[in-house]
Amino acid sequence: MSTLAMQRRRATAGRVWTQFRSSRQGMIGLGVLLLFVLMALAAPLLADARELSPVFARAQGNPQWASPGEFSPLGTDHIRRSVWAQFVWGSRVSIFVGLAATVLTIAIGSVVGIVSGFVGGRVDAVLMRLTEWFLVIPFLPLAIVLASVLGRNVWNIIFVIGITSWPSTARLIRAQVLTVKQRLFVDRARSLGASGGHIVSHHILPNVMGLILANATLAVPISILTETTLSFLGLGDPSAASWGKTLEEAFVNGAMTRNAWWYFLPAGLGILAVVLAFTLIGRTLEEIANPRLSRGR
Amino acid sequence: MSEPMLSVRDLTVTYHGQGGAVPAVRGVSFELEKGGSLGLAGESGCGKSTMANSLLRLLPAGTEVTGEITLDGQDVLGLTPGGLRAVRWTSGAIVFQGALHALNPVQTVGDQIAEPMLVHETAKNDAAARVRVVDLLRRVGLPAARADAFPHQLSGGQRQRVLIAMALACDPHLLIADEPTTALDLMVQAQVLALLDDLKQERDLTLLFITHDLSVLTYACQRLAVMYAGRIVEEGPAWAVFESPSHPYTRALAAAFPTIGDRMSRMSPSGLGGDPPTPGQLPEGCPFHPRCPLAHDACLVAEPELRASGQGGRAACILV
Repeated sequence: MSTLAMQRRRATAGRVWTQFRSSRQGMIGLGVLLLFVLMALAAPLLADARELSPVFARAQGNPQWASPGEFSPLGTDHIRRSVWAQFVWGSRVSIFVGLAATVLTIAIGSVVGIVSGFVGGRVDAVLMRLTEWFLVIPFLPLAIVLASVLGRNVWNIIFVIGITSWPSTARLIRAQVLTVKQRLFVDRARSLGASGGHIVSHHILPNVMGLILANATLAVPISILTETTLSFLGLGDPSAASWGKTLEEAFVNGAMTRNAWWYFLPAGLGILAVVLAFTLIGRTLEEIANPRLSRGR
Repeated sequence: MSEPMLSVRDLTVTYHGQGGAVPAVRGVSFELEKGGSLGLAGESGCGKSTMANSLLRLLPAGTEVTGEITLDGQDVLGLTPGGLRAVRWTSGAIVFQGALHALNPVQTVGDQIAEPMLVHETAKNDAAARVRVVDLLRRVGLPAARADAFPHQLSGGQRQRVLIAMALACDPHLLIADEPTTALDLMVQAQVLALLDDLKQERDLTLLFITHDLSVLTYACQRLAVMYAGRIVEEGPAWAVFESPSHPYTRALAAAFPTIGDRMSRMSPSGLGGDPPTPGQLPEGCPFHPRCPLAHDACLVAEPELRASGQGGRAACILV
């Protein structure tokens, strides 16, 4: 790659950042997300991983069901573990699974959608039947079966979420590719001697990129929530403390009836904040990717 | 001028749709010598754009094209897909109609003008392409800074200029202008026409100009061909066709333009009633006879061939 292309790419990145900075919702989302990412990265500094073990907690002499007032900073649970430690270490699992599953979902969905929409004909028919086949399988039973067959670890959870949630992305992107393909500038590109690959990379992809980004921002929260769901149903990785697992344990052990709000609120609000942050960032990126959506010229 | 730049022999284009075969172009032949310019006129649906697109084989898959197209010494209909891609834009380039839709909304116009150079590798790298883009923009009368604009930030006339710049990117020999001035107001139309004319002189371009506007063609072209129902019905030097048309259809088309300052043409605008025939259901005999003011029985029998009509032109009418 020539240095000029590098320069231009850097200039584009700079332009995106300038535009992003001028958006309030984008900056709020980015701020919240950065906060949680920093927390996830700095987990070893913020809380001792041994706090997650009930044996260690008992040995430490932690009280049971202690409110934040009695045991700082966030109280303890039914087996004396620090809720703060679970919150901090849980953010790692939740954010990582959410991002990784989204990457998998969007990658499969985009490739299938673009190939299907652009090539058309028999390829389209075969890929769409495959997509429908995945679409009609009820999600939870498939996820439960896959999770129990494959074993309960983080990578399998990511695989299960990815393999079950790409079909809707694929259909959405295929529909958009079909409309973009009909536009005159695609004919123009063909008439100036461009090959299929060139048309996809220079004309189709940039025009569906906004949709892919928007879809990714929707897929991150859904992936995080799916991980939460699977953990809540007891299908999560038993050795990884995720926010979903915290919620499950709080629910199963009657934190609600005990009025132990400190047990489930941090994890619940954490999920809410991260999901919201991704949505705000995604909306802003979509506006930048699609110049016609942005206010002012 | 021995070898013509573009030669079309007995070209027929048939679309195969759900309603059966639709002959959109039925046996068109013409030659365009190097540096010459031919205007193609006619109502909507008479096969002008279909013919233009067939020259670079841009018609949808499944369309039947027969005849012979020789562009720049190459047999277009016999080319392999790779050879075809190489010919597109280097031998013949198209200035599209509807400038907004022919531009990708999410790319800067500079990148889009550079696109043919990168596809055909006529520019070694991005920097060389960039220099050339700025050159081309200046040539079509746009400031170099406009290279960084997105299509929606330009006016209709500017967008049309961008498309012209793009068409020139690979120094094509033949420029096919498909209604380049249709959606523009008169002043901008005049500017774009003047620009095309300048470029033609300067680069010795061969020009095929397609529009329904006869007055534009007489301004921009040396020769003029009028199409009706997929055939050329009259062809000749531009001024002769416009000033003294031989075919009744051309006469009606020319008369449809009011003369400024002439009260008569304003008070009683002349035109042509009815619509052109549907390509799938052409009438017997001369396809123009149902609308022709001079039609008589002989017109119902056979479709007339082109024949000499004085003043160096040809017309397909039995009255000539």
